[in-house]
Amino acid sequence: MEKKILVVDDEESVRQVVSFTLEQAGYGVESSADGDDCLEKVYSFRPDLILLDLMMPLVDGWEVLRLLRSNPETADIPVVILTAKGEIYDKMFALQQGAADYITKPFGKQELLERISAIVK
Amino acid sequence: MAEKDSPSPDKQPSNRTLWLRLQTLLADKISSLPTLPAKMSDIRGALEEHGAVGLVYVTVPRADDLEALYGWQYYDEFMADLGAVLAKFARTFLKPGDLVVARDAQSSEFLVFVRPSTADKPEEVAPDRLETLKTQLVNYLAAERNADIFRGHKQVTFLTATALIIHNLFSRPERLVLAAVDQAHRAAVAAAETETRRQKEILKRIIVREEVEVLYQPIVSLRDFSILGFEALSTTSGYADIKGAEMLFALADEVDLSTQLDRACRRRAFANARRWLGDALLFLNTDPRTVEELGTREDALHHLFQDAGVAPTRVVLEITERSAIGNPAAFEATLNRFRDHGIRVAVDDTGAGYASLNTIARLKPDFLKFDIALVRDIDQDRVKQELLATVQELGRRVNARIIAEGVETKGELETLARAGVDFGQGYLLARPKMGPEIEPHFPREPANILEYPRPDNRAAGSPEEKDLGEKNTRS
Repeated sequence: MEKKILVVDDEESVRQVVSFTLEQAGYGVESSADGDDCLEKVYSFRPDLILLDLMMPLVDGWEVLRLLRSNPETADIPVVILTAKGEIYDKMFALQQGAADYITKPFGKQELLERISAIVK
Repeated sequence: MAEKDSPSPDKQPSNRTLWLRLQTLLADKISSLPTLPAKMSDIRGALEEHGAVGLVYVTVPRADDLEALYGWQYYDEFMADLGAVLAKFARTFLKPGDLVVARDAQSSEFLVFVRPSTADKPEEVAPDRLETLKTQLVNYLAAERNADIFRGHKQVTFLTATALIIHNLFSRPERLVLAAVDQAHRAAVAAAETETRRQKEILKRIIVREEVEVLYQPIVSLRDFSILGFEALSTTSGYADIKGAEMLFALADEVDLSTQLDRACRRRAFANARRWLGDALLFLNTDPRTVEELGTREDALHHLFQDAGVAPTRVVLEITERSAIGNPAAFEATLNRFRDHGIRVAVDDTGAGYASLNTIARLKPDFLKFDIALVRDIDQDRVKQELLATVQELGRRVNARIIAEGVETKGELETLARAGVDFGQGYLLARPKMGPEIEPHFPREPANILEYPRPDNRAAGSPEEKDLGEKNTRS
């Protein structure tokens, strides 16, 4: 069955490039420009994995992660953090908060697909 | 498509987001207990029905410090344990309709609400029944703590108090409940202050008489089990009120006698170790405030090594995060001055605390000690393995060797060794010993615990040692 991925990033270029890459690889893809929209789409789209940017307006990635985790309906959806921040502290904190993995921008197409397939396969 | 648009600046979070936010406020996710606001209507109902409700209040004093010192993992684990123990207590000792709640989401204050029973006078919860319940709770928490339900959280203490909430027609029930919670909180704090004053007097006596015992735990190479050095672990016995090292240091921190206690421990550690230390390193736990204090003295080194009988080049200051570093620039300058004399620096509890990478990098440590809580079950925990990898990455970046603390199982040891961790410390490798016992066994035989290929190098002057010596003379 086709695996579904929700791409959440406030930068349109990132959404487009990542969505295109994932669609080419055979994933069903939807995207959100902010955390608020992401929290809606999680319920309508029911993704198998969420690619989540941290720095976003309105509702940031940390809060999205926290809210997803605190709700049994969404607690088990793997979240891969996607961010420009390379600090180990952020990485450790993201993993501690229940993220499945962490990809630092800029990243290559191959890296993205490998990390994702390792989780959703 | 709308989804490709940037959000407009006046956009408000949707109802879904607001609802999810509310949910997180009504249940404390860490302790898995409901919060007071979520249960307020039940409590009001009980108060109106019975005319009175009893409250037993329990809190973890200085919970913020617990998190700052040992990190969020420790804190969350502890609160999860406490939540589970409180829930178990409720099942064992409380009646249907009684409640255990957290004061708020993420709170370290917990509230037990009990209805009057048939044995109580009408419309009242007998005060002695509340006191009995409080005693039961205190004993129960102590028993669970000693039974190791609180994995390694033995030094944590609890504050308790009781309050009686009596319904009256002039105040709204909610306000009566909140007032009772405040009253219980104040009573618990007052009781704790009295206790602290008494303990401070005991601690002063311990420091003045240097009544600390020092044990030495070997730190060994995970490649050939040769001994790199010993961590001096100070503790005290003979005082019923101060049980063990964690409590001793927590107390010193609480009553602001950390640097004084550090000095007493250091003097004892040197006094024993100089007879048998040889080429091994001596790791000394050092409060940042001790370094800061020494930084203000011209004769700091003389002061530090006065009558020590141990060369500065054999000493590793293990910087613990017991208190924040007030002036990082001065702190680094002092450390650099020490380093010029060959003193090495280790950062304790790496990976657990909130110390930012920049802070750690700026200390230019020779060693990073990977926190015991992260070593525990690391063979079965992918997140902990990830954390180890990030700490190793940090180690490579700042040119520091990794020491894994608290290695207790073969699985942990194998995972650490396979990941390329340089050194380890823990009960599996070697237990802490009094100084004189170490001497006849030094250098130790490699522990026969790993079927793991290793070079036949059992001498104390291992390759690691020479490596480190060279590293230390770098500009």
